[in-house]
Amino acid sequence: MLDKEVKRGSTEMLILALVEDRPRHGYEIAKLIEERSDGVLQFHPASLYPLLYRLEKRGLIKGTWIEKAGQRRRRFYKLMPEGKKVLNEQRQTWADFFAALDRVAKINPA
Amino acid sequence: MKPNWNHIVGEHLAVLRLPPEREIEIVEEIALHLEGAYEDALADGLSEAEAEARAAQSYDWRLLECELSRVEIPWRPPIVAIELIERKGGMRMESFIQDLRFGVRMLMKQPGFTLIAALTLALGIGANTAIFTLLDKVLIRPLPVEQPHELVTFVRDASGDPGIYSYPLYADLRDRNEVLSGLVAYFQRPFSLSDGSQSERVTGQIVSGNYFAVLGVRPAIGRFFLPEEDRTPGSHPVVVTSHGLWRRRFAADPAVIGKAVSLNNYRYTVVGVAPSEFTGTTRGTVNDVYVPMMMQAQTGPGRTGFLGNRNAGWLRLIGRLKPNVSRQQAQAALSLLTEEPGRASPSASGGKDSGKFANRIFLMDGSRGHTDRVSDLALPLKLLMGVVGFVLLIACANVANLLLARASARRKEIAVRLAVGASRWRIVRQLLTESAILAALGGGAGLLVAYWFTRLLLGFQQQTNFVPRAFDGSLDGRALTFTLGVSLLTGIVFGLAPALVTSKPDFVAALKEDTPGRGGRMRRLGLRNLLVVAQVALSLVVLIGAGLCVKSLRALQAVDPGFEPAKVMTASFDLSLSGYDEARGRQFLSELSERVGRLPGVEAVSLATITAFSGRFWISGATPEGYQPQPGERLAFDFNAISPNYFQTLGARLVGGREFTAQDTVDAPRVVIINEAAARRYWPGQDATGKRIIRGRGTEFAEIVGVVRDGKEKGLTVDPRPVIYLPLLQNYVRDQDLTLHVRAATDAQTLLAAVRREAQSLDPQLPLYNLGTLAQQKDGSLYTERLAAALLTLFGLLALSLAAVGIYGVLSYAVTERTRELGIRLALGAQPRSLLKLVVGQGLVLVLIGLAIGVSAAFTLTRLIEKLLFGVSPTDPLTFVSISLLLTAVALAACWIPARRATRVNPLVALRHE
Repeated sequence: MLDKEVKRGSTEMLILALVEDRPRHGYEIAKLIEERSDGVLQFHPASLYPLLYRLEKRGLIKGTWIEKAGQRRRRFYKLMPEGKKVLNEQRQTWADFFAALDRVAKINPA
Repeated sequence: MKPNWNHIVGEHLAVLRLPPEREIEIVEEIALHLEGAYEDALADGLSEAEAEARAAQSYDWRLLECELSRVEIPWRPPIVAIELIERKGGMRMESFIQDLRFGVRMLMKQPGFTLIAALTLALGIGANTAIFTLLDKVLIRPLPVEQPHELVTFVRDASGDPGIYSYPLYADLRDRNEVLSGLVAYFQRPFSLSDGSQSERVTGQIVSGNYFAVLGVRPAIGRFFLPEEDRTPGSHPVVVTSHGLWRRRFAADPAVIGKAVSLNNYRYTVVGVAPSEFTGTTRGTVNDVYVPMMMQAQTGPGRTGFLGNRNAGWLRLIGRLKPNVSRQQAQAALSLLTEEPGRASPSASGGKDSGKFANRIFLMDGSRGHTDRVSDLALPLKLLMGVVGFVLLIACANVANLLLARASARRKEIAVRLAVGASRWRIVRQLLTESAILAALGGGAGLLVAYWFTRLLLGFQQQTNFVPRAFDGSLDGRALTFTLGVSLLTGIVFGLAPALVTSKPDFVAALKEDTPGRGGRMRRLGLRNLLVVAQVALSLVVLIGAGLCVKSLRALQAVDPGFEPAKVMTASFDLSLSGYDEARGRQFLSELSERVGRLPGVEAVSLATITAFSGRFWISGATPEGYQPQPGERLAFDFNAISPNYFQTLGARLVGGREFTAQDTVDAPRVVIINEAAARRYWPGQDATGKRIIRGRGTEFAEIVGVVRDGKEKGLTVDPRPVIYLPLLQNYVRDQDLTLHVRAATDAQTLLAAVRREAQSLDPQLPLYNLGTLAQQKDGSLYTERLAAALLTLFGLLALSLAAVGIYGVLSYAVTERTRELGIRLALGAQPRSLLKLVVGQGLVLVLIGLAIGVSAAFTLTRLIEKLLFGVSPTDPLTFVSISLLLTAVALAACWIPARRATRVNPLVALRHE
């Protein structure tokens, strides 16, 4: 299990990455994080939504209520251009970070 | 059962006090999340209870609250609510309602402020509504007839004095003109109305048969006159009553139609009732009966032959222009008609200058009827309107000041709203909405104040029977519309400046610092100071106006009328209207005089045709024996017929000769008494007694047996003119009313009841009117002056107190703002005295600037009321100086209270003060 600090620092990027290819709603984001990390990354829902709102306020993502036939409306978040920029920066930072870790501690994230 | 996730989440989020719409969104979103978890748990094979527990446990509410409170702005109800609405777009109705709701909430939060502001406005608006109502009813409002703007009055010249026309000329003009769609004639006169039980003196009009039809008035009940009732003299004794008379006298009983009433001792049948708003066509009079022209001869003795007489001018005319005919065209066409040979000219009363305006027709806008009776009131009423306008401005300044003070307290709220993106216009709109609500409150309360004011005005009017009865004291739709308009306008006037200042974007500085930026404060104080200066200036103008009017009234009241009004009681009656012939009349007069003379407390009794201060004249010609008039000189005298002891009764002094006595009868030689003015003019330096005059075109000489001191009986401001007194015994007046004058040993007022009793024991059917003292008549003749003085004083004091409150408010605020500074000064050893000086000085500077502006404004404005003033110059230095001192004293007192508070600042507290 990853350290708490690392987890918190990375959550922003995780969310931005998850809505990069298409808009998703909150529950879907939470499930995806849990599934794709095989349960290693467990995102506490109580901080998920406040985080989404914070990202939205910063203009990185945008939530829109969407109603689909026969379903209740859900709020879908999509990545905004500003969010895309931040995501790429963060990816670069993490990539640099892992590269450094690899060079020093010989770990290969791939 | 499925858990209600929305409810569960909502309960947990309530503590955050999020804005309602935001809260709904968040609740829904998180509830969906929990529902997802719950359904997944069910899918995993858990029971409902287990699934619910798992979903709920997955959530850490404390963490959620904590995180959310960092992201979300808690609900400041108004602010966020408004931003939400604004996002939805612009100025829709809901946004207006939102403004309104918020405004009401803000005002309710500070009930003290709201109360004071609304009361201040109520006084200003109420005074305006009352004076407007008076002005409107007396001068502005058109007659309640169809298309009043088509009407034209026939007047003598631009002064608006009505022209007087004979009936034949009227009939010619009516039938032969091609410019008028109708022409009506009327004559106004008193009637003695009796329905068998009691009689009453009322005013009525003898009207042409087409009167109501041309004016376009419809009867309230019954009908108006038929064509056949306008054809044969004396054939149709019918009468239309006013709505007021119908209610008063006949209890609004529809069965009045067909009822018989007696008018001037002749029986008429009531055929209709005029609508309530219609009171005749002479402004300032209220007519109670309308009698058709053909009954003219029956309205009084000595009135026969008028309908056929081309030389008797007595009718007033009002025409209705045909469409597309201008007044000038009509005037020219009608003048041409009168120039045709064989058509005699209209003639004025007495015919004295009939040659001058013969054949001339002058038409004026007749939408308001004939206005000659109220023309004297025009200037004072307009003046009062101006004054109450000033008072309202002062009230506005006060409320603007209060708003500014409050705006400072609200600067943080406004800064937040500006910061979260509200536009400046948005804020201004919100603040103006609050002002409008305040103004509406003020307007509502103002109606109550107006009601009270109108009662006051009505009471004032009823004190005298001299004044035109134009004002019934009611507030109607026009008054309400006026109040509404004024309220809205005031809302903008007092609200706009504070709103603009408060919503300045640099207000944002307030967010960072809790104390306002120095520049901002100075500006706001600057505006507030400006308002105080304006208040002082405005109230000074009003007060000086009041001072001048009071001084003028004092001067008038101090005028020696040449007799003693307070000791003389009067009662008028008209024997001719009650069917007395000369023999019965003489009998009645002598019996009445004798009986009243025997009453205890009566010193003397006399009769006269003209009463002092009644505003009535009897002007006629006479030639002193041997006097050669200059070319063009008219030998006109004021006449009065009096019975013996008249001058003793009035307390007037004879400077030579004697009074009339019971021996000056028809059989005795003709005698007259003249006043000093007549003696001076025609027998300068000589004793006039024993000289002789000839009345009118007669040949009989009358000897002057006495000369009386000049009196001011025609009015206190009127210079005495030559007067000739005739003995009533030698000149019985057949068709005019007489006034009994009774001199009381003590208080004339106490004799009223006894005199009435004596008159009624002689003739229970004879209406008595003008019962009162000559002092009351005198007061009545000063109606305009008293009205102006009383109301100006009232409004002046109102203005003064409003201004004092304004000064007090500004200085109090300044002291509060400077508490810290004052504390430091005290801590550094400043004497309380110097602080006192500092604060009072600040106020005094404002007051002095205001005084300077006010004095110069008053210098210009008081000239407007020069015509109203008597015995005092419009720039009377004493008034200017004393009023300025008064205002300064009051202002100093208003400064003193906050200044003293400044000296009591506790340095320690002040230094901690934010």
